[in-house]
Amino acid sequence: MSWLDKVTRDPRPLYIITLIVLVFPLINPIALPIPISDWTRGMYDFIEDMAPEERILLTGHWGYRYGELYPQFLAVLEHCARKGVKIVILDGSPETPTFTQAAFKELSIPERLEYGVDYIELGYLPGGEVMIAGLCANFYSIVQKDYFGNLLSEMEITTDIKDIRDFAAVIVFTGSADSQSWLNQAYAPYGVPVGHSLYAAKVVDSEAYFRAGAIFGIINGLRGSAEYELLINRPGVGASMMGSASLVHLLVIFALALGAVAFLQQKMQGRA
Amino acid sequence: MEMREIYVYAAFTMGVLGLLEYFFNVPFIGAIVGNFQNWIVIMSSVMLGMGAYNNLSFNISKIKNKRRGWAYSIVCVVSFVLMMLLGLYVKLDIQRPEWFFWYNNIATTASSALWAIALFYIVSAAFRAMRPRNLDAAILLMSAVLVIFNNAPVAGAIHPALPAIGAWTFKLAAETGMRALLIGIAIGVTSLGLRVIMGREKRALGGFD
Repeated sequence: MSWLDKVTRDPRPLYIITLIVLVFPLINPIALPIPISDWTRGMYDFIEDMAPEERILLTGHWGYRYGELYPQFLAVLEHCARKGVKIVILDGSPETPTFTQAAFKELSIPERLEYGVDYIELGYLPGGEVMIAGLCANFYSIVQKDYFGNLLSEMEITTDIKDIRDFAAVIVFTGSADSQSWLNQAYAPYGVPVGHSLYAAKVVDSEAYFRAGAIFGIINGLRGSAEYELLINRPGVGASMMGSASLVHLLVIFALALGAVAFLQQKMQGRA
Repeated sequence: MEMREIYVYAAFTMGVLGLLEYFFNVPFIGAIVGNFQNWIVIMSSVMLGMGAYNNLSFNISKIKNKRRGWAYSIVCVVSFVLMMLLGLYVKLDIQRPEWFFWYNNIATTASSALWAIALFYIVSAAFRAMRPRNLDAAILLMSAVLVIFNNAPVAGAIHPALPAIGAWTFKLAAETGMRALLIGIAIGVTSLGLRVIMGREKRALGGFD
């Protein structure tokens, strides 16, 4: 039995190699050039061109995709804070407020911006796409208080909101179908620009909308957050993980090639 | 009038009003649909509570009857009660260390770890399962490699042409396929919606036909 056959039966050596390949670049960072994609550039340029008095809605549905989506959220939130645009945050799932609060703390948002004037957190609202439809059509029919129970009508940032047209854009951080929901309910009927900040496997869904001009930008997984961090000149988790991600990608290609060799070897020996 | 007929008429009315509200700006219909939307948000909130109750009662019954995996149910119930009490204690101040410690060091870490384990299986599957057994499989493998080049910064460091080839594959093959899929889904969802509105699709109304 060749060593290829042995690894086919017992993949533990592959697991050890994967662990080494994953951890090594975290201990010894590898500097790799990260070209900026059209997707990330579109997102960055849109926020960069916003006027300080304009309002943006950031909404996230994270859960177990936290690893990819949280660095994206940090980068976009930091960019919005620097630009001074008015930030309204809608938590897309029950656990998201914890991450939103963590992001505020990490970026020192309460020290830099005034709550209720420059930014606000609406909290989690259940109801999926129907809730989104209601919010887009009549903001106050769906939400009257922020996450902390303050009346939105008394907050400077939200007092004049009637519907989704009072926002310059919506950016959705997600790995599930709610990216489509915002397109259906905010972009299609009202023409409000929508950007997608996605878990990498979901990007293929949104690419078609990006090429068609229906969304103004996409942040593509951890790679996208690394690009965004470079654009705003604030290297963070995304950029630091690119070494690991690159080597792991190479390892997958190596494993595919090795598998093909093992298969051809078995075929030549009449065992496949 | 039978119960199923009431369901069919209700679905028809709601569906038609929803469509009218989406395509035409009629304030009267908008107000009615707005009320429906509010009800759904309220019902969804109630359902969250029902989900929590269901989870708890299912796991407690599993522990009582010592069904397979009952020890995991103990972990589930204890975690549930602990986080609920902690949530009630900290109220909305989730930056408090009592909440943040448990959430960040258990919930977030466990879900990230679970997700990260998939990497090991992907590498293993790349070697053991994804083999070029025929031409179709070989093309699929080649496409996978090219799309990886599109996403990994290291590809550009190896050769500047690799990311471009990967991007071309992604845009030509993946995007074209996805467009077809999205259009197919849209047509399917539209026809399903029309069937519900017309009373032809009854499975959505409780399973009877």
